[in-house]
Amino acid sequence: MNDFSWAPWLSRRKHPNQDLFDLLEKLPLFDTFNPKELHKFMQLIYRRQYTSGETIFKEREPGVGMYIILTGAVRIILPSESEDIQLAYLGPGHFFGELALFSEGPRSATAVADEDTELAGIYRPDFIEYSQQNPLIGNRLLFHLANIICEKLRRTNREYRLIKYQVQKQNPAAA
Amino acid sequence: MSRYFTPFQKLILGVAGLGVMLLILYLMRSILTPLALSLALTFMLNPLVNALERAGLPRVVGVILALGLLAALLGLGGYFLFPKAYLQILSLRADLPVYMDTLKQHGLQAQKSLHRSFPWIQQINFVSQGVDALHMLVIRLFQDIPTIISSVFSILAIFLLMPITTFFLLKDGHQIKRAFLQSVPNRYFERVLNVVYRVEYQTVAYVRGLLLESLLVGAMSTIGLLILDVKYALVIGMLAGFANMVPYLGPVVGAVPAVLFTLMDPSGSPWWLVVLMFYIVQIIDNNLLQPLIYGRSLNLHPIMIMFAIILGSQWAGLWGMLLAVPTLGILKVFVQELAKELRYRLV
Repeated sequence: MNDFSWAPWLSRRKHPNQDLFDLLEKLPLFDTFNPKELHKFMQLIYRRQYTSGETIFKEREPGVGMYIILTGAVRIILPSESEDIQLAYLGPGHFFGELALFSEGPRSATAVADEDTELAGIYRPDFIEYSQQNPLIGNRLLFHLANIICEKLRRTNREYRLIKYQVQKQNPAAA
Repeated sequence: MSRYFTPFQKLILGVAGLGVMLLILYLMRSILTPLALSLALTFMLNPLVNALERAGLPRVVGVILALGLLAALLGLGGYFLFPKAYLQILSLRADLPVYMDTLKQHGLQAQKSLHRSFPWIQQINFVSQGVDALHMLVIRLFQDIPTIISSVFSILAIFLLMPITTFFLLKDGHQIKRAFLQSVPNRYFERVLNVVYRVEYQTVAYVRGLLLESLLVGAMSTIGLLILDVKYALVIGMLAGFANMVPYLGPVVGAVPAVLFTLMDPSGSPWWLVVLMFYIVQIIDNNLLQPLIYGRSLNLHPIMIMFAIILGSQWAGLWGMLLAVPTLGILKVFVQELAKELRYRLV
C-alpha cells in the first residue's frame, strides 16, 4: 500500500510528439507560434524515416510538400550523367522543398538522405486546409515562408550577378 | 521493395493484392450499403463537427452533438412526414389499377386519332404495349420497395451498425486516413497523398452537394405540388428529390409521374402548371443551387457524365447510376496525375 502513488495520475502525460515539439519550438519558422498553436500545427506533420542513401524526392517529380530535418542529414543535388552537383548539405533543423507548398510545379532538385534520417513532412493539401481554417496562423506562417524564399531569391540573384561578372571578365567577347 | 522483388514478382503481388481486396469487398457485400450510407452521413456532418471543434469543444462532444441533432431532425421529419407518406403510398397502391385503366383509355383515344391521321402506323399498338410495360414497372417497383428498404435499412444496420460506424468515422476518420498514409512506402508517399486528398476533396464535395441538392429539390417540388393541389404530392415530391441524384435523367423521372396524375385527375390543376413548376424548380436548381453547392468540385463534361450514367446503370443498376459520377471524378484525378507526371518528365 505504501508503494501507491498518485503521481502518475496527477502528473501531466508527456505528449507523444514531445521531441518534435521541442525541435520545432526552436526553429525561427515557428517563433511566432504559441505552444497551443504549435501543438495544433503538429497535427499536419507526417514523420517519415529514410535510410542512408534513400531518395526523398527526385528532380522533375511533382512536388507536394516541404520537409524539416529532425535527425540525420540530407544532400540536395542536381543529378547529371557525369557527376552529381551538390547544391546544399542540410542537417537537423533545416528545411527544404518549401516551393512545393506554394505551387504545383515539378521539383527543381533531388534530395537524398546522407545517413539514417527522420523528416517532418508538411504537405500542400493539409497546409491549404489548415490556412483556411486558421487564417491568422496560416497567414503568419505563409508570410514567414515567403520571407525565406525572398531571401533565397536575393542570394541566388547575387550569385548569378557574380558569376555573370566573372564570365564577362574572363571572356569580354561574350558580353 | 525494389531491393527484394523483381518487376514480374511485383506485378504478381499487385494483381494478388487487388484480388484479395475484391474478395474482401465481396465478402463484405452485405454491409457495404450501410457503410456507404455512413460515409455519406460522415461527409455531411464533418463540417459541423469541425466547426464545433474549432469553437473549442472536444471532437468527441462535437460528434455526439452533431449525431444528436441529426437524430432529432430525422425523428421530427419521421414523426410528421412518415405517417402521411405511408398513407399516400397505401392509397396510391390501392388506386393504381384505376389510374392504369384511365391512362390506357386516354392512350387509346390518342392512338385512334393518330391512326386516323397516319394510317401507315396502324399495325403498331403502342398504347397497350406501353401501358402494360409501365404497369409491370410500377408493380415491380411497389414489390421491390420493401425489399430495397429492408436491404438498405435492416434493423441491425439502423440501430447498430450505421450510428456506430458514423460515430467512429466522424471521430477517428482523420486518424484512419493518416494511419493509411503513414503505411505507404517513402517512394510513393507524396503521389499517394496527393491522389488521396484530391479524390477525397472531389468525392466529399460531390456527395455532400448531391444530398443537399436532392433534399432542397425534393422540398421545393413537394411545396410546389402541395400549392398546386396535386394528389400524392408528398410521395411524388420525395421521388423527385431522390431521382434528382441521377444527373440529367433524374429531373425528368421526377416530373413524369406528377404530370400523369394531373392528366388523370380533372379536378386538380392543369398539367402545364405542374410542368411549369418543375421547370422553375430546375431553373432554381441549375442556376442557383448547383453553382453554390458544387462550385468547381467536379468540372466534368455533360457527355462524359451521360456515358458514365448509362454504363453505371448497365453494370450495377440504381447503385451504378448513383456512383457513376463520383467514379468518373476519381478516374479523372488518376488520369490528370499521370498526365502531370509525364509532362514534368518530358519538359
